Amino acid sequence: MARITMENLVSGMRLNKPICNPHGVLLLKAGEILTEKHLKILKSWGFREADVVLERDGEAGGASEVALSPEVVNAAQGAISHRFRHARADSDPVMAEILRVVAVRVAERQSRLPGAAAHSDGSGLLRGDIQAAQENRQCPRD
Amino acid sequence: MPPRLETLVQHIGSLPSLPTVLLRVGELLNDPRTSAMNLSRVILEDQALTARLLRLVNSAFYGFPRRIATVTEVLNILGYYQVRNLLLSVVVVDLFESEEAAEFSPVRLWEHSAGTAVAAGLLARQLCPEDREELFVAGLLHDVGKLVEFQFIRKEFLRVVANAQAEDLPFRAAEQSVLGFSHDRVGSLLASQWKLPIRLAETIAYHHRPDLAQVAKREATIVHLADILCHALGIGPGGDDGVPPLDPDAWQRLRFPLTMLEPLISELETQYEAARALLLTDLKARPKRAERLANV
Repeated sequence: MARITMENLVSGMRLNKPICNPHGVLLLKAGEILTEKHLKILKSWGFREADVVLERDGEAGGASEVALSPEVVNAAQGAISHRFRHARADSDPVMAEILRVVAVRVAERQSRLPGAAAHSDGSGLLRGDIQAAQENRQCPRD
Repeated sequence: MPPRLETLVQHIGSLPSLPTVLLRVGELLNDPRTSAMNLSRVILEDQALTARLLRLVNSAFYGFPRRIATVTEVLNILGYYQVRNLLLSVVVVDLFESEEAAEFSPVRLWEHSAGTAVAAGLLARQLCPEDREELFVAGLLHDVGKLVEFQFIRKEFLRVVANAQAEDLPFRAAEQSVLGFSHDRVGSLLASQWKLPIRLAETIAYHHRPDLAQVAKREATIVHLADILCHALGIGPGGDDGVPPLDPDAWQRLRFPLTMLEPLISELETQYEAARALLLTDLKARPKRAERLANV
């Protein structure tokens, strides 16, 4: 499970915890599959995040990109691509695969632990990458 | 005028030598009559080293299902040569006791070395399990030449760091341009000075050009790839954040399936955190070299 920020939630994700409005009225039950309509409503209520089940939950460590939007993975890849500038990641399939896997790892961590504040204790690998990826998304390039 | 490699070699002679116990273990390993009892007696003479060895083999990182309480047990379970490699990885940490500079951090280099050691060990587990400890040590030592340069020709070394950044050069290219030699060569000279096995010296010498290795081509290739994986994950040595280019034949030589990269990287992340905690604690817990000498 993971708390995912609003901009990273996509339809098809399953809620891990129910969502109630500020008055305690149940809006969506735990286990509900999010639809585009749900997302619109949640945004209009001003919700900033939701607790959803990631595909990897319950699987034996299997990595999965299902819960990650391409935008998030691309942002992560953009954030770390400078590191590969001498490594021919565009022409070498092995380096391209390494870049892809590391970008997915960065994006997964970002989704599981949303917000730079989660890392403010200075612990954790890829902390800089996650922050860079977040900045990348906030400031999309043309 | 750039420093000469020969001058640096003379400096290497003044580096702290390996603890006597390790040299004696090396001698005993060359003697076919050596028994586990002989070896354990020599190792036990250095109580501090024994404690660190047992701590390493009993760590979560090593992952034995039960507690190993004696040196004889370690020797019986792991084998003589593996224990020598483990002892080496325990003492190498002392080398990284050096003050930080704004442009370069020995602790970051240590983190990179620990990461490369873990990655090389994981690759070895898949490709050549019998050499796991040797490759772990090779990973720990692969960049030791940088440390020698930082210790003895600091001004020039920091110029290399600045040059690599300003010109956006791979670190090794900047070394060649500023110094006329690079850390892989310096590291292998240190390995020879310490009388380390030739395969280890070659792995250090050719971790950027594994195709040139004679007796340790596979080992050099594994450390080459391990180094690349750590750079890719951002476990860089500092002063050099670029992923080095992959040797064109490296992948074919290892015959490692591309689909195994993802689980390997995932495990590397987990194990690196464990190894880093273990080895860094060791680094911090040790009395400083000056204090140790004062207590002799």
